[in-house]
Amino acid sequence: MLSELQRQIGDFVLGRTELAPAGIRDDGITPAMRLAIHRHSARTALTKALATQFPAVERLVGAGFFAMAAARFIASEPPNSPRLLAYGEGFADTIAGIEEAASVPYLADVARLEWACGRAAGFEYQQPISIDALAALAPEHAPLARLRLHASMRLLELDHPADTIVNAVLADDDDALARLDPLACPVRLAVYQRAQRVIVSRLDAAEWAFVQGLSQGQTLGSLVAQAGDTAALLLAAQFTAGRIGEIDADGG
Amino acid sequence: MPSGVGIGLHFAHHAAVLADPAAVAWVEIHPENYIGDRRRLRELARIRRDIPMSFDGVGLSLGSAGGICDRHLGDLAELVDQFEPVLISEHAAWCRSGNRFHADLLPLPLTEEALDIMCRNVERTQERLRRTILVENPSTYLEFIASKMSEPEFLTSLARRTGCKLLCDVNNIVVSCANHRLDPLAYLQALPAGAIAEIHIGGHAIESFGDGRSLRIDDHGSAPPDDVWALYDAAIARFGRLPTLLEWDNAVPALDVLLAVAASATNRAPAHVV
Repeated sequence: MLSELQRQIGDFVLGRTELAPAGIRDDGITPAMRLAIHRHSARTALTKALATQFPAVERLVGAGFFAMAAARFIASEPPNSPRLLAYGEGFADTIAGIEEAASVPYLADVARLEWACGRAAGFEYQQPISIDALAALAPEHAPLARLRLHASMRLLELDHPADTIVNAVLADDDDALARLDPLACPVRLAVYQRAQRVIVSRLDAAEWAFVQGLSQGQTLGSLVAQAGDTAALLLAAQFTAGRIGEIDADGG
Repeated sequence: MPSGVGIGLHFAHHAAVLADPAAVAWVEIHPENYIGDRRRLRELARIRRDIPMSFDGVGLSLGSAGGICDRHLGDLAELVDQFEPVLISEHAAWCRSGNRFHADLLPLPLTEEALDIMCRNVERTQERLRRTILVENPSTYLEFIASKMSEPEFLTSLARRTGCKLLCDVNNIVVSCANHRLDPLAYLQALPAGAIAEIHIGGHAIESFGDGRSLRIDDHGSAPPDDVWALYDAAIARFGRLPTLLEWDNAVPALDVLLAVAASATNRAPAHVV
């Protein structure tokens, strides 16, 4: 059956088995040697796709280590589509599980940030709304309104300052890399698209709680009550930063 | 139909092509490289305004026993509607099994079962795209004991049963025939001339195993070597000066080098070898 043969060949090509299927002519160049050409070609294409998604990770560990990590990921989580722009979800977790990467404890967080940036960049453009939309609400409706974060928004809570690390690595800024303490602090990041660029903003604890509330669909009244005196400032800051995508005046 | 010799389009050449579109006869893209990439699709739309464009798919997996992925076919149909490519081609190969994509064009046993599957998938593709597609002969590195026909016989039956056209990749013929000790000219002669609608040329590598044995690898990493040019001369003698496309996907040179190699194809003379 062709379907079974294709499953077996596919497993070999993706590195999930070393056993070549039966039924391939062997004339001294063995079936495994011949199938290895396809494995090499597939790994090269998929590793290149991952390196495009995770350029800072590749620079931090070098091409050889990156290729090893990529091969593990390809075998365990092969792509489900030829749309390779969307390939790499879960790569950070694979990196976190690689023993040899333990000496670079921030590597998985760098991968998480790069993945979030790639997803935000791929989003269809959406104009953020201005604070005028809020002012236009009838006062009695405002407490029940819900603000929706920009559709491209990803919120990340990381153990390591991956934003500073990525910037320094991609800028080849050795001085900045030497200065930073990668273990210094956890960071809370808002990653989103604005004017067709990806923005990575650090949020403090109060702003993080506020934005989390927005992402969970809390009403404006509830958010303002929780934020207290800082509510007006926090609210205005989200509009100014272009993080609000739409306003649901009915509170539905 | 595009005329002249086109080139495979690379992201790195977008700006140069846009700067001087008249220098390029036509371009071919792999749609999979663009699906979902809004920025590059915008660039591509600008290129398409000035230059004829063909699509050469590498992700449809026409040979998959499990059929074609609805989502990918839908994505492709959207691009076809938007860009109206002058030619649409895919490969007599497969790259998907179950829910896994394998990122390479993998070989089919040349059996009635595989032919039936290819026919079903080609028909479905042509219905969805509302276009006749071209199916390209792949480079192969292995043979299946179960195969019951030659590759030209397989492709001839496919074209007859589905009405599809064929893309004759002369580089792939040179590669496959060297790997399986077949005569490339005999392969060319066995193709149905009336069904051939496009020709690909390109370069390949040779991997030696240290004991005198070697395999040719279709890496598209260099200019066509002499034996590919010789077979191209025979191909244009047999099929006429069909739209021809230069593939160069690795170690891609500057645009002017690609255009110079493409121009040299324009100057080749038909060679009647049989």
